Formats: sequence, C-alpha cells, structure tokens
Amino acid sequence: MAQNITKGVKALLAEANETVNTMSISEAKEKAQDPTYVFVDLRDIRELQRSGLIPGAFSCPRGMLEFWIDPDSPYHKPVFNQDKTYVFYCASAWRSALSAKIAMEMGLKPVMHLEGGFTAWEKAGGPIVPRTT
Amino acid sequence: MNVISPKRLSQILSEAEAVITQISVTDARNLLDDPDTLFVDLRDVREIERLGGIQGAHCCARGLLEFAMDPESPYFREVFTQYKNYIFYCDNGLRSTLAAQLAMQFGLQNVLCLSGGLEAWLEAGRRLEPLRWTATAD
Repeated sequence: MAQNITKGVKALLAEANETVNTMSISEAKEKAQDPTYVFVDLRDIRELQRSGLIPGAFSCPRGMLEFWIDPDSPYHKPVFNQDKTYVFYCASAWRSALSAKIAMEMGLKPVMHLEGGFTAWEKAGGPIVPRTT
Repeated sequence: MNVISPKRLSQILSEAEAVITQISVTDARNLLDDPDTLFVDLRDVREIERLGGIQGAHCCARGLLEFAMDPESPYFREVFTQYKNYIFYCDNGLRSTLAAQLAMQFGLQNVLCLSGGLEAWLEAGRRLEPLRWTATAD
C-alpha cells in the first residue's frame, strides 16, 4: 500500500459531537417553519435532486461552507449573516457535525445539527419538498 | 455561546497555506502521465459537468473528502491508498488549499495543491476534458 492514513473520521466526529448540540427530529418538525431558524442542507445537488429537502431549507454544499459564511469572503451569502438559529443537516449527521463545528469556530451562532440527518427526517415522516432550482 | 474568538476565512486559509505545498501549472502538467500521481478534483458535480476538468482526474467533492480518505469509513475510496502523489485542485485553488491541509492531517503523503486551480490551468492554455462525476454520497 502506497499510503497509510492515520487520522480517521471516527475521531473527528467524536470531537465534533462534543461541542455541537443536536436537535431532535421532533423538535425540528416544530422549528422547520419557524422564521427564527435557518435549516441548512449540506448535501450535494445530486442528493437533493434524488430525495428532495426539508421545506424552506437553504442549500449550501459542504465544500463551499467557509467561503459562504465569512462576510469578508467574495463568495459570502447573506443568509449566514442573520440573528437566527442555524440547524445544519446532511444525510446521516456526519458531515453536519463536522460542518457545524467549523461554523461555530468561525463565529456563527447558535448552530446545531439535526440528529440522524435527512434519513431520520424522512423515516419520521417529516415533510419533504422537491428541489426546484 | 462560543468561548473561542471567531476565525476568519483569511486566517483559515493562511494557516493552511503555511503547511501545504503548492505546485505550479507547468510542473503539474509534467505529471499528467505519471502513473504514481493522481489528480483529485474537489469541485461539485455541477461545476464539473459545466466545465470538465483535468484529464484522468478523480472527482471527490470537498464535502465528502474525510469520508473518502478514511479506510474505516463506509465511503472509503481505494484511490486514496494507491498513489504516491496527489494533486488537489478546484476552480481557483482555495478549496484545494483547505482540502490539502485536511488530507495531510489524515496522514496522506505527498499532497500538492494546484496553485491558482483551473483558472491558472486555463490561463496557461491547458485544456479541460469531460470528466465523469464519481457518485458515492449516501
């Protein structure tokens, strides 16, 4: 084997989950339409096209996150500059845990992530809208 | 409530730049046919479909990178153990800078970041080829 990977996602996730709060699916169902909450979908466009997303969620592919959060970045999105609570989610709450940790380090607050991700949302019968744009 | 002081993107980028190694378009071009070197395209599917990318590159969106590199992860991709050198690129070299830092933290050896990304590649008169997006996300 030409390479030997020494750090793993398990450790990274454990580290992130120590600092990032989770929101339960049942609470999320109440808050999804609350204007003081912003749901951020971190999955890539293919996943959104395939499965739809939580109504009202803002799509931010994870690879763009830091560039969209920082107000001084030329790629900044004003959606990340509001006095609201941010709820990050992805498919199974791994990417969202790592992303929420970075967002918190950048000063975004409060930030939580959705327990179990979109998979759990779907399983619990949460409303889903198709991707339109 | 955060107790740490917020990190700006500029700081995140300069910390990464301090530890990663950049490679110029000219030097990267010379490694295109090197069997020990893999080009890794970190952009999202729409960008790749619109523009194409570097011939033979492996597409791994930045958002999936940790999960693709870790052999213990269900989304592990073997390409991350099979090459001696990796050249990470994106559109302008920013995402690849952060991704190269992350890969180094994971223990990936000989990771280079294409300086200026595809913008510099095109400016130097290099061509792009159609690339196939590698789907993996769950």
